[in-house]
Amino acid sequence: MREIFLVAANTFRETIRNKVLYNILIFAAIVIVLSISFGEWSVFARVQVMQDFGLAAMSISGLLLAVFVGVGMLGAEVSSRTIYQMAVKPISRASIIVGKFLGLSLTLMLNFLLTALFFTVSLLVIGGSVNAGLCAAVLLIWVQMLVIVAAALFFSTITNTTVAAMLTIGFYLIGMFNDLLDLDKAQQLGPLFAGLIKAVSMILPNLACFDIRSQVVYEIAIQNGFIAYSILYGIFYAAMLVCASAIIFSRKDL
Amino acid sequence: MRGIMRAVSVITILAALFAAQFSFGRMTGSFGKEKLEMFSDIPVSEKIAPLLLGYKTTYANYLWIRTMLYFGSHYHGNKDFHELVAMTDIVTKLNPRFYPAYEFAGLMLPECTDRYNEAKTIVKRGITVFGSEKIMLPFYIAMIDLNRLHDTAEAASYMMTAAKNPMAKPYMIKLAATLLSKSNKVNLAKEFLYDSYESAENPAVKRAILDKIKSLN
Repeated sequence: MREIFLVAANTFRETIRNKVLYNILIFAAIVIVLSISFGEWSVFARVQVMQDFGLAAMSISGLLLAVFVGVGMLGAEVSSRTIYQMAVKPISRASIIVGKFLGLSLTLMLNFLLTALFFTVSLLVIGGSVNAGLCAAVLLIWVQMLVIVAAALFFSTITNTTVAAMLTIGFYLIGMFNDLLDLDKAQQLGPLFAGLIKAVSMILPNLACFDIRSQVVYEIAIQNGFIAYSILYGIFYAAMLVCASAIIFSRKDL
Repeated sequence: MRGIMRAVSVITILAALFAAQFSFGRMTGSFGKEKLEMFSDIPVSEKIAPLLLGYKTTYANYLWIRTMLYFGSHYHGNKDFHELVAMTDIVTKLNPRFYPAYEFAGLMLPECTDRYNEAKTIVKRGITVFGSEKIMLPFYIAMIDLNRLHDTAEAASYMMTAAKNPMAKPYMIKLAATLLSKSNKVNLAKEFLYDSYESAENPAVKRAILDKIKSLN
């Protein structure tokens, strides 16, 4: 356990020194501050428009961070062979993967805390307020990004950095489209096809279930237990990917 | 020294870009004039929604901002609002819970364009989304029917919908009754007023309804 925390702490230190992190943070901060102007330009519903743009900026910055820092973290170490320094120490390869995932999760959390701070200040400036719904929306974006980080880590164990980045973006796109699979229409094409479609939709991630931004901003009721279900689903999915990465990385010939 | 050289290079490139832009503007004669408006990027259908990957409402908000900028610039300019209906329409299709767009469709579209039926369609979409939550939407349709389309019967029906809302103002109830009687439905007007009188709790509202019943008799 201690070795996992050591790797996590090391990964966290390494990522917060990464220039990409600061570029993404600056981008998010600029968009969030600019969203005050977007709110003003919308003439009506200033707070809602600002909230929507702010949450979208947090989501996009989280995604960029998860993909580029997540993929680069293991891939760059393998390609530059600095992973050997860690591999020769009495640390299991599974611990390296789990530690890297935890470290990246912490970096993502720090990113969200900082952007949330910008968001809150911007919201207060235009007379809005922070409520539980907004906090839940930010929390779910973070969980969604944990799944993306786990996927980035998984792909970087099986291929090089560029391909892993492309596969992670593909994973995100499939995850966002998964919600559109129409199981009722599939039923009309026969039970075999319906079963196949259902299996595919269950295996692929459903990233749309982490997106409650519009419900929160436009005060649409959210089903009881939906947020808890989404968090559990995200943690479970990320855990599955981290386990798969650990297994593949343990057997990998470095 | 290297840093200074880099900064000088960046400034030189920026200055060259600005100069190129300026001279191109002068050559084409467009510098300082109103920019050419481009609407080819505005989607014509809400079918684009799945491609927006969860940023549907954000994109709708962006389009709404463009709608407001378009409205503002033309309001102070040539008063040509031919893109306004399509822009408001797509905003409400992509973000059906964006209430200001329906208010804009109900109030400003009939004022700025002559596409009254399209404005009505947008407001009707709002009624479907919000139901009785937004009392003013059927009122706006009634006003379009009455003042623009001169269809008193249709106006009466929408005004009655607005007036039946528990939050309806007394003037809406009186207006609905007037419109019903003007469209030769005096009995229906009286029936509606009696029902409204029964359901009203505010004494001032009850008094206003009673006065209207007396005037119809």
